[in-house]
Amino acid sequence: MFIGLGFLGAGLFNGFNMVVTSDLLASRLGDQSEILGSWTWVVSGLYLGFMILHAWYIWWRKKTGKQNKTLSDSATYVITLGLTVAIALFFFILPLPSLYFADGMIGRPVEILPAALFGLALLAHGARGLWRKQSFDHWLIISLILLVAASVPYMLFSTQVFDINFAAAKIIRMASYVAVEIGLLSSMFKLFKRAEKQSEQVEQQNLQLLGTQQRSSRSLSLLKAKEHELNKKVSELKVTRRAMLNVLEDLDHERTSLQEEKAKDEAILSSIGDGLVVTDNDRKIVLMNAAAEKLTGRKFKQAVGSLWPEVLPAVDEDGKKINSSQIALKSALEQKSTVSVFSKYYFTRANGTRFPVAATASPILVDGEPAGAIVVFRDITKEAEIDRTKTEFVSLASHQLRTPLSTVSWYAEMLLDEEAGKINKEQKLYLNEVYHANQRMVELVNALLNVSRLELGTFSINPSPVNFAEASRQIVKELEQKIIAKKLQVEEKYDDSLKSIPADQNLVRIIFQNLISNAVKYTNDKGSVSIEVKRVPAGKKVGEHTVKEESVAIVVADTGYGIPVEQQDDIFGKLFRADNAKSREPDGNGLGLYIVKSILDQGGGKVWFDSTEGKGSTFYVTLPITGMQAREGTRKLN
Amino acid sequence: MPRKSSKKSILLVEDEPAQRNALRDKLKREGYETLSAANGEEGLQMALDKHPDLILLDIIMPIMDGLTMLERLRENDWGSQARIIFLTNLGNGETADRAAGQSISAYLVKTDWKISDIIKKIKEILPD
Repeated sequence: MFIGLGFLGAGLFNGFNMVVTSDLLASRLGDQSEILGSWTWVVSGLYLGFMILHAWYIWWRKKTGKQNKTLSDSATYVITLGLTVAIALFFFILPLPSLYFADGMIGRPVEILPAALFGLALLAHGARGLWRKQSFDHWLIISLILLVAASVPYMLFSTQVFDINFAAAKIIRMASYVAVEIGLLSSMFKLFKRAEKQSEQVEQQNLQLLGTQQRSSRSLSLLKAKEHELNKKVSELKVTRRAMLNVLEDLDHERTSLQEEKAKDEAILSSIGDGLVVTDNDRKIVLMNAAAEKLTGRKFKQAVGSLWPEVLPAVDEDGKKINSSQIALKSALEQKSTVSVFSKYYFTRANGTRFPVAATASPILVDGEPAGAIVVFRDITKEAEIDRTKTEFVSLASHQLRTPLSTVSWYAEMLLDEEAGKINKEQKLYLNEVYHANQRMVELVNALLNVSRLELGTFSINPSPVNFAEASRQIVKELEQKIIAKKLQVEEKYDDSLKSIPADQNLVRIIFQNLISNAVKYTNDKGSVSIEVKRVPAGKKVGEHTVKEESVAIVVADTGYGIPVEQQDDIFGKLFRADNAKSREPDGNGLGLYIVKSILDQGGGKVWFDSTEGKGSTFYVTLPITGMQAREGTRKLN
Repeated sequence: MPRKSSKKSILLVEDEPAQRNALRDKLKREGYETLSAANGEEGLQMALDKHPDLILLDIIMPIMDGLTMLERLRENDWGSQARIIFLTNLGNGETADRAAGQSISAYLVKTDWKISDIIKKIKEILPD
């Protein structure tokens, strides 16, 4: 810009110079014209040189990275115009000395100053090096060369105001101006071209952008669609997430409750006082609770996987191994049903001591096949002790109670037999009461002892061949006096084909004794009692019942009081007596039928009855012809 | 008048005096000579001294019970052949089985036997 201004200013001064050196003004100004012409020339040269150098200076400052305080556009215009006007006024107002000396060797020495400035500018811009690339700088260099050329060879040696040299210098200076103009034009042309190119590029880019934009907008709508889809998916996912969270929450609840359940189970398992052992089908230990560990003195961790019978063999009181068929676990797995044993065997603790066992083994059935078993067992040392104490008590009671009873019985008997002297009728009557009351007491004691043995489970069944007919006859004989006293008709019917059956003599006797004595006791005077003992083939009926296997049947019928319908269900109950029996026969303890039923339940038989109140009762007993199963016990029934 | 030696002698070993006396009186009336002992120890002594024809032996007694006395008696030559009836109030059971295992003449439960029936049983065992 400074270069442009420089040339503009120089142009102005030169124009001014042209005006003052024109014929029209020169003639009017006279000498003044010459002076003014030379001053404007020099000043324009100085101004141009300065401006071109200044332009370089600014470039150089920029290049070295320093801040520039450049003059604003309007300021340079004002300065230039001001200078022009100032110089013009200066000329007109102040008379200036002449700058050329027509007589000297060097016509215009002042010309050296602008020539030096131009030379400096030439060097500076040449050093800048842009002239090789940019057309304006290229032309500027040419213009500077021309300016130096115009100043040095022509103006220095121009001795006349308007000589050849002076004219040549002017022409050269003009040429330099032209060169700058060409540079300007060419650079402007390039600038325009570049701008055009750029605008084309911009347009192309715009087009591209437009395309891109269109594509973008397509993409955008696609994106929007996608976004919509995504939003849908997101909301779906949110729903799914919520559902999942709910499920997780539910699962968490489930887990918590399962954990609670498990803890509860574990607590239950560990707080069960009885030993609990779970085994697989091979009787290998799968689980043992704390009580089992404590009872056996063995640790679950060490016992797991071992055979239960090896960890804890069942032994008898002396420590000998017992027959495995008696062991609850084995029986349960073989029979696929729950098996309980009580005091049949002992377990040996880790310290070598033994304890009697009550055990219940239940098979774990999967699709009907045993997959393992659960054994619950406990130490019944205390029970065994109590059992022993009870047995001892029963034994003692039986002795102690019977001793005075037999004493009373014997003395009353001797008195009645008048062994101590004659007695009168009244005395006899009274003594009879004593005797019979005592006999009732004896029976009651015997019955109570039997019940206590039944309930202790300590009574034994010792089968031996028993002739049922003979047993029946024996009882009838014992009851003869009563039968005669009541004038009863007694019919006895015995099956000749019936042979002796394996049974417990004593128990068979108790059965007949109770059934026949009941019939006699609860039948009115002159009534009838029938007793039948027979063999019944399988499938035949006894009363209302069909026997499954060949059996012996006892049927005792009477024409007695009968049992009230509403009390028939209770008749086998302990100490139960029907109301009509109680009111008419004070002699009775309500234990007979209970004992009969207990014996048959344990011995493998059955007892039932038909009865109509006021007409009589019929009692039926069946026992398989194979007889009673042996049963070990510590006490016999009497 | 029958000679003293012709009378059968029966030793009663019974700790309950009322029962011992009832049996003694009854047996006497029936013509038996009776000896009485209140426990197994006395009974054993008397049995070995007097060699009775029959011993009515109770089981549960102080000092020495009937079963022990029987065992001791069997160790003796005469005793091994002595006739014994257990007359007791112990019902059937372990003790009765043990007693029954011995070679005895009878095992009678007192409450089941009238005194007259006991005499009948004795007469079966000691026929004239």
